[in-house]
Amino acid sequence: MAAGVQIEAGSVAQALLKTYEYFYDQGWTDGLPVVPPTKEMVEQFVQASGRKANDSIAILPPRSGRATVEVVAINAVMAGCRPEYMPVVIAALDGIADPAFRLNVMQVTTAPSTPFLLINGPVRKQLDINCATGCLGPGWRANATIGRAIRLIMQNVGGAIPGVYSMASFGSPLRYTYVCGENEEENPWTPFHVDKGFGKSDSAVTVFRATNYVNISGGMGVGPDDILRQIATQMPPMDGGGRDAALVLLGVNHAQALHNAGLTKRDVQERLWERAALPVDYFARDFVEMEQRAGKAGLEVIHRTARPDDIYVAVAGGPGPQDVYIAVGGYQTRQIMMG
Amino acid sequence: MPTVMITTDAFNGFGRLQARIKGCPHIATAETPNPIRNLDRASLRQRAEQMLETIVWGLTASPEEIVRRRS
Repeated sequence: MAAGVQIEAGSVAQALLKTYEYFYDQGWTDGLPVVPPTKEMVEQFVQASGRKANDSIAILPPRSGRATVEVVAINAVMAGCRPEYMPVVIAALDGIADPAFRLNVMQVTTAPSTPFLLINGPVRKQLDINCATGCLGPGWRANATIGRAIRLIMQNVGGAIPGVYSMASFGSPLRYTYVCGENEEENPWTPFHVDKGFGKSDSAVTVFRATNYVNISGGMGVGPDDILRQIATQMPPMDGGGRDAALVLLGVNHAQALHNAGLTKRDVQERLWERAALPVDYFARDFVEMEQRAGKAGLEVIHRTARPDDIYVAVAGGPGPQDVYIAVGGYQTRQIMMG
Repeated sequence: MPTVMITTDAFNGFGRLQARIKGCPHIATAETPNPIRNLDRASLRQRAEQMLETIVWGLTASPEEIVRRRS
């Protein structure tokens, strides 16, 4: 970005509008208005990160752009973040820049994949990150702007400019922001980050390579078998490049019902894996061969994932017979170091 | 190392940007119309044969010649 851009205007409203127009013309936005990243605000955000302005966080493909703390701060200001969100943005960025996350593919592919951020630990309350009713919808500043900051960084630093480097045929509304906290308070099992080796009092962000959002209404099912069958039958095998997985965000009512029925999280994974399967003759021959090579299909049945371990389970959302299934690739979990 | 980029026309601009990032702005390019995913083996082979001349040229021409033609 150019340094020291000056915008003159007769009123605050005019200055904001002129900033939006200028930044949009430069190709620095996601199409929505941005907050002007003034020198003072950027400095405030850098300070809130607890890091130095020129600390390098990541080199982002395909343009090999360097995301320093200052650059992250500029984009976080533009996205509408509060300064205290900086450690979350930095931790998530560190996760997506891990080579195992395959950001180099996400940034340029015709598929609409995008990072989904699942946030765990005390930071959810500190920053008012929604993990309950409406957690994947509008209305919460942290959920809306942390994901937006990541997208702006992917675009402005990595160069994932739609139609130029990013060749996503359709793109996705999930690319504006895709963030929620886990509803740990109503999760009858261990939180996701604890399963990954972090302490319950640690704060962590897990970034998933996500391609979709499927809300599964629970229908009339009340027992554990009906609940899991309803979810599994809406998780058909799909072309995920052979190495994909599935994230199931169980709604709190269903999570509690399954727990009360004596099921562990492992039981849920195994039962979903068994039932998220269809006969091979439903599918195109090339697809079946690909899934067989990936270990997801035998001679008669294709499973959604190669193993039960590849169905990740977390708990989110508010009351109601609703669950969410997200097709995901690899994931990375990073601790959030709050100042 | 002599290299030729094989691409469909829809992705040629993207491929050239990638090549520029990697320090090869003048890379020789063999191009075929998009899409190719729907082609059977015979049609795909025909497309490949149509690009052969460009591929051989890209692998055998001098760097100066490639730069001259791509500029």
